[in-house]
Amino acid sequence: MGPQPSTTAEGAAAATAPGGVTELLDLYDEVAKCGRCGFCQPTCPVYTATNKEAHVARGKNALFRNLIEGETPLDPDLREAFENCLLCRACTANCFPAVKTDQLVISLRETYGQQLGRPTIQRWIFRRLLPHPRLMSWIIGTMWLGRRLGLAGVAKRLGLLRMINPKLENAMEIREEVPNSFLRTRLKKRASPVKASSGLKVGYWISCGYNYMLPEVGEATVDVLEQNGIEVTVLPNACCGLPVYCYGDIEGARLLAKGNLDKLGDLGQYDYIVSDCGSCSGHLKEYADLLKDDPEYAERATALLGKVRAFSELMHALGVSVPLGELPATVTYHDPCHLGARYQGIVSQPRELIRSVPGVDYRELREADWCCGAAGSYNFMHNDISMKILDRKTENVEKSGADVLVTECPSCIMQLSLGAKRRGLPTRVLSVSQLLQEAEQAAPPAGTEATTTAPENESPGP
Amino acid sequence: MPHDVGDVLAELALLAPGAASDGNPQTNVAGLVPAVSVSPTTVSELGQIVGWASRRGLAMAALGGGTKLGIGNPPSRLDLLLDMSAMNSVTEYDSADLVLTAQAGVTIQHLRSMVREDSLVLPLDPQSRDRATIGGVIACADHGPRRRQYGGLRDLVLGLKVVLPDGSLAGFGGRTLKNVAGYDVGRLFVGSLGTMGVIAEATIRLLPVPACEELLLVTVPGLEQGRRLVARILGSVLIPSSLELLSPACVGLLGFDQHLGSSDTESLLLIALEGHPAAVERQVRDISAFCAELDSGTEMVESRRASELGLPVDEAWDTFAGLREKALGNGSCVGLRCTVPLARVWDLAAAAEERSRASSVALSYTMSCGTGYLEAYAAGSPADLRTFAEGVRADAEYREGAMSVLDGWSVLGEEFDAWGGRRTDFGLIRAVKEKFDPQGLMNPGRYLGGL
Amino acid sequence: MLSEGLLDELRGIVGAEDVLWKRADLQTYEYDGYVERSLPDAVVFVESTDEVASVVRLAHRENIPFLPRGCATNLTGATIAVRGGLVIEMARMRRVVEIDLANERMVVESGIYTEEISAILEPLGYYYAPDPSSAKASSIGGNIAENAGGPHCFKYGVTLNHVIGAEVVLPHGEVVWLGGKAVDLPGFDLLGGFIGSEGTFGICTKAVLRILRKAEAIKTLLAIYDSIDDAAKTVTAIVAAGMIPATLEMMDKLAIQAVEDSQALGFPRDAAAVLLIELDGLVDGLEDMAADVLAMCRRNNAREVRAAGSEEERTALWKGRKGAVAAVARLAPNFLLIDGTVPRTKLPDALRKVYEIGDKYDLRIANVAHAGDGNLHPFVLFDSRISADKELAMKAAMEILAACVALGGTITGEHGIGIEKMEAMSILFTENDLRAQQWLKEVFDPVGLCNPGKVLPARVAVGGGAHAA
Repeated sequence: MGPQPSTTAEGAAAATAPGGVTELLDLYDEVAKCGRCGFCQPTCPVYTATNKEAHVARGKNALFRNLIEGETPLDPDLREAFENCLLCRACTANCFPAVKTDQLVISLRETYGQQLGRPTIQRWIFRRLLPHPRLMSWIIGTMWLGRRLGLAGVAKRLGLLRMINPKLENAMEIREEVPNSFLRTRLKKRASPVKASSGLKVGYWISCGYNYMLPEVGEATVDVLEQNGIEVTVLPNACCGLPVYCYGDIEGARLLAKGNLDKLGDLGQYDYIVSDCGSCSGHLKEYADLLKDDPEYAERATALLGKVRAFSELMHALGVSVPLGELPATVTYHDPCHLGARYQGIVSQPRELIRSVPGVDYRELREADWCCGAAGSYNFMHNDISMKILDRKTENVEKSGADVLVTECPSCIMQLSLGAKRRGLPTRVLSVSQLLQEAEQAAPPAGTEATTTAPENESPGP
Repeated sequence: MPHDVGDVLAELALLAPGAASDGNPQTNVAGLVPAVSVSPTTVSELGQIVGWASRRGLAMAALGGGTKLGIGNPPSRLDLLLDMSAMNSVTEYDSADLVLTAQAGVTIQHLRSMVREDSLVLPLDPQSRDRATIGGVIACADHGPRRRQYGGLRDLVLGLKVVLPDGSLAGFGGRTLKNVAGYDVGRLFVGSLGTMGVIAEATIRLLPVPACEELLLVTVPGLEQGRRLVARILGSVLIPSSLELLSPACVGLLGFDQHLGSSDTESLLLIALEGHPAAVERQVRDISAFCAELDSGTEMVESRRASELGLPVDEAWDTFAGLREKALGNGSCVGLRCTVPLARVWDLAAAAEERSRASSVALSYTMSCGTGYLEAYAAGSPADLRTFAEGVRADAEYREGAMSVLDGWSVLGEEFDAWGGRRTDFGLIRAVKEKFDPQGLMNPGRYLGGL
Repeated sequence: MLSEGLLDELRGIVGAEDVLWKRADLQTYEYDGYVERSLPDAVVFVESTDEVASVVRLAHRENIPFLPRGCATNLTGATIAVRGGLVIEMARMRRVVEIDLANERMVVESGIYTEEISAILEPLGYYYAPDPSSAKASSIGGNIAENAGGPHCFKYGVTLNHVIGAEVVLPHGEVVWLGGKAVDLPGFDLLGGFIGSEGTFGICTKAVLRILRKAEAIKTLLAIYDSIDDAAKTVTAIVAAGMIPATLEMMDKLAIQAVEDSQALGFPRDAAAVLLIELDGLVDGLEDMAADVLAMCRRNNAREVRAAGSEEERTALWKGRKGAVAAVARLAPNFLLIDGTVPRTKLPDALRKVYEIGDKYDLRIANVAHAGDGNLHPFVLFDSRISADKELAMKAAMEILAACVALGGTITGEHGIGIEKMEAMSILFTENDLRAQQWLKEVFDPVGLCNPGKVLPARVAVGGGAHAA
C-alpha cells in the first residue's frame, strides 16, 4: 500500500520546521493538497483583474504553507495576499482536490489579527458597534444626515475624507443616495402585521445592508410575504456577523452570534427565519458550525439552522399564492456568492421564481455566479480591483440585453447598480422580492378577473 | 576540387569499400558538375564518408532522384556528390502502428506501393514520385496537392537520423506521434536543402486508406469563379482533401482537356474527396450545388467525377505527378515556387497572368488553393523572364508570402537571388548554418543569402 | 538580489507597481506545477512586445538570467528560476490581434488562455484544434513553449501543427518573426525548433494560429472493459478499419474507482479499463461509423457500451474523463504525473510495466492514457511533505520512463523536459544528439541567459561549433 498519506496534524507536525506558525497547523493537511496546478487562475475574479499570483488561491496556499513551514514570516507583506480575497470559493469549486482556500484565508486573517493586532477602529466597530443596533442606527443616521446636507461632499472636496482614510472616498461613491429613514423604522410604522391566512409565521431578519442603504427592498420583501398570507414578525437582530467573521475576528463573530441567538429568544414561535440577504441567510446557517463547541449555544444554533431560509428558497418552496400580473421585460439573474452554488446551493429557486412572472423573457447571464466584486467592504478597501471585477460583470450584463437584473443581496445590488451606471446601461437592478412585488402590483385588482380567492382571505386588494 | 581525383577515389575505396564511386559523374547540379560521386550503402558508411570529406575540405551535395536539382542558387563549389540511391531500404515498417522508417534513398512510389498493400497511405504525393526520394522530398520540402488533408512534412516526419557535416550521426524525434523530448532540431532539416547535413533515415507517419476516394474535375472559366467556388467550399463544413487548380495550359499539357472536352481558356480544379461513402457523396452533391450557384449564362462552372470521365482516380493523380517534369521540359525554362496566405493565391495568380502578358512570357501554373502554393512555369527570353520573376516575387512578398526558384536560375542571371527578400529571421538562419556547418561544405551557396 | 538602480530601471520600463521584489511576493513566483522551488530576484509584468524587448535587453546587458512565464501550469519546472534572475510575467499580454477567417488564421498575443481562443471563434464556426487539458488555465505562449498536446492529437496533431508564425523576442532583445501567415516560407524551420523549446530560446509575444472550421457533427461513445488488452485491441481494430477517431481516451481501474467514488457515473468498480471514443466530421455516415465502432467494442469483449445521442449525453460521457484528474487528486495529498509515450500498439505492455513498478515500490498508480497516440499518464500518488515518499515516487517515475523508451517510445509526449526529466535525457539521446541540440540552443541564446538550467543536462558540451572529427 505504501506510506499512508498523513491525515493527522501530529503526523504533519513532524514535517514542519521550527519557526513555523503553529496556529495554522490544523489546516496543514488542507494546504498540502494543493498541487499547484494553477487551475484556480481563470476562475478567480481578483486574479483575472490583476494577474498577480498572490491574489489567486495557489499563491495564497503557497504563502500559507510557507508560514507553517517557517519559510515566510508573519508580517505586513502578507496583507497583499490575504486581503485580496473575495471569499467567493470559485477556486475551491474548480480545484481538483477542492482545497478550501477561503478557510485558509480567514484562518490567516485571524492569526494575523491576533499576533499583529487589528486597527483600533476595526476592533471598535466589530466589538462595540455591530452588536448594538440602536447605537449603530444613531451613528449611521447622523452620517447620512451629513451626507444629505452635503457635508460629506464638502469634506471630500477639502480632502478631509482622504486624510482619515483614502478608502472613505471610495465608500461614498458606491452609492449616491442614502435613505432618509431606515428599514427597521419603516417596518415599525407599517400597518399592523396581517393575520396569516396560510398559518405560517416567520421571523424576518433585518440585514444591515437593507436597513441602512436599501430599505425599499426590505419593505418589498415583507410586503410580498404578507401578501402571500404569511405572518411576519420583524426580528430584533443585530448584525449577523459575517463581516466580522470574514475579517478573521472569529471570536467577535461568535459573540455576535450568541448575542443574536439571545435576541431572537424562543425560536419555536417561528416556522421559519427568513432573510432576503444572501450573506445573512448564509451566515446564519453557519452559526451551528461556529458555535458547535459552545455547550450553552450549540443546540440553539442548530435549531436556528433548521429554521433559516433565504427568501427565494422559502417562496419557491411555498409557491407564490397571489396572482402575478404581466411584467414585459427581459430579465436576468446574478447569483450572490453566499446564496449560490458554492455556499447555500440556492441556484434554481430564484430563477424559477423569475420565470414564473408572466411576460418575463428570462436570459441566463454569462458567468452568472462570477463575483460582482463587492464582497462586503472589498469594493472600497480595494476599489480599483473591485471596479475591474465589476466591469467584467457589467459587460456580461450588457451582453445579456436585459432590462432588469435581479439578485438577492444588498451588496450585490449596490455594486451592480454602480456597474450599470458606470457603463451607462439603463438596466434596473432589483431584488427577487421587488420583482415579485412589481408583478403582484401589476395584477388586475381582485374582482375584475375570475380569480379564486380562498374564503378566509381577508386582505383587501391593492 | 582541391585534391587529385585519383587520390580521392583511392581514399574512398579504402574508407568505404562497399560504396561504389565514380570519377566522372554526369550529374549537373544547378549548373555545376561535381568531380567525384560516391554511393554509400549504410548510414555508418555515409557518416564515414562525410567525416572524411569534411576533413579534406570537400564541398558536398546529396543526390536523391535528381528531380529537383535546379532549386535555389547554383552551388559556389561542389566536389563530392553523395549518391543516396544505394541507401534504399526500409528499415522498419509497422503497419499496425502506422509508422515506417526508411533510408533516404527510397523512392516515394516504392513506399506508396508498399504500404498500399496493407491498406495504408503514405501521406506524401509530390511530383515525379517514381524517382523522388524521401530524403530529397524532405530536404526540399516538396509537397503535393493533398497537403491540405495530409498535413505538411512538419506534421508527418516523426523522426530523422542525419549525418552532420562533421560526419557524426545524430537522431531527432523518434517513432511516436507525440514527442517533446529535447529540442526539435530535426524540424530545421525540412526544407534545408541539405545545407545542415545529410538526411540518412526518416520516420514517417502513415494513414489508413479511406473507405472511399473520389476526384472531382471542375472546369472553371476564370480565376474569379474559381475563387468564389473555393471560398464557398472553405467556408462550409466540407472537408476536401485537395483543391488543386491547373491553368489552361497545364490542363492541356496533361491531356485532361480531352477527357473534359474543355476549351483552352478553362482552368481545372481537382477536388479530392475521401472518407465514408455517404460523406463523399454528400460533398459531391454540395459542390455541384455550389457550382450551379456560380453559373451565369455562358460562364459555366461544371463539376464532374473522374469516374464519369473514364479516368480512374489513381491514374489522374499519377498523371498530375508528372506535370512539373513535363512543364519544365516543354520549353518552359524557369520554375518558380510561391507560398502566400491561402486566400491570396488568386490575386497572386491574376497578377502573374497580367505580368506574363506584359512581359511576353508564356505562363502555366498550378495552385494549391487550400494551402496557398502557386507553382509557375515560364518560357521566354532571359530578360523577359527576369522581369517576370522579379515581378512575381514582389507580388508574393507584398502578400506576406515568398517566392523561390525551382529551376532555371541560370536563365535568370547571376544577380538574381533565388530566395527573395530576407526576413527578420535571417540572422538566425545564418547562425544555424555557421554552427552546424562552420566550414561551409554542405551544398554551399545554394541557400538563402548564398549560404 | 538586484540593485535598487536596476529595479528602478525596470520600473522605468513597466511602471513601479509592475515590478515585484519583496520576498513574500517573490515566494509566490518560486514554483509552478512541479515540485521544486527557486526564488527569482524580481518579477516584471509586461504588457507589450516593446516592454518585453526592453526588459530582455536590460537583462542581457547586465548578464542576468530571465525566463518568460505565462500561467505556470506546466508540470516540469519550466517556469522555475533555478538561477534566480527575472521572471517576465506574460499573462497581461492577451489581446486578439486579428481574426482572418478567409486565410484560416488568427493572430493573438501569447498570454491569452488557449481555451479562450476557441471560445472567441465559436460563434464564427471555427476553432483552434489543440486542446490540452490545461487549456482553460494555460496560455498559448506556454502551449507553444511545451508543444502541448491533448486528447485530440491522434487526429488533429499537436501545437506544432497549428502554430505557423510567431513574434519572438530573442535573448539579446531583438524582435524577429518566425514563419508567418503563409506555410513553408523558405529558410530553416526555426519556428519548428522554437515550438517545444520550453522558453529557453526566447520569448514568444505573438502567435499566428491555423484555425479550422468546426466539424459538422460529433459522435461520442464509451466502452467499459474487463481487461486493458481488450480495450487496446479495440483501438487497433478501429484504426485498422481505416478510421482516425478525434479522441481515444483510456482510464484504468484505479482511475475508474476514483471517478466513480467522486461522481457516481455508474462505472463498475471492478472494470479494468474505460475507453472514450469520439468521431467527428460530416454528419453523413457518422452514425454508420459509430455503429461499426460499437460493434468492434463488443467484439473485443466490452462489458458495456454507451453512445451519446445529444449534447447533454455527450457531456455526461466526458464527465468521467474530465473529472479523472480531480478524482485521482483526492486519493492522496499529491501526485507525480508521468508523461511517457510508447508506440500505440505497445500501450498494454507499458501499462503492465507501470503496475509492476508500482508494486515494486509499493506505490499506488492510477492511469489515464491518450490511447490513440500511446501517451500514458500514470499518476504516482504520494505525500510531498514526506521526503522518503517523494523520493520513491521520483524513482518510480524514472523507471517508468526507461521502460517507455525500451518499448520504442519517448520520455515525454506532452509535458516537456524542464527540470524534471533532464537526467533522463541520456536514456533517449546519445552525446551527439545532445550536442546538436546544444548547438541549436546556442544559435538562439549564445550567452545562456534565457531560462537556464532546463532541458539539456549540464554536462553537455557548451560553446563552439562543429569540430573536425
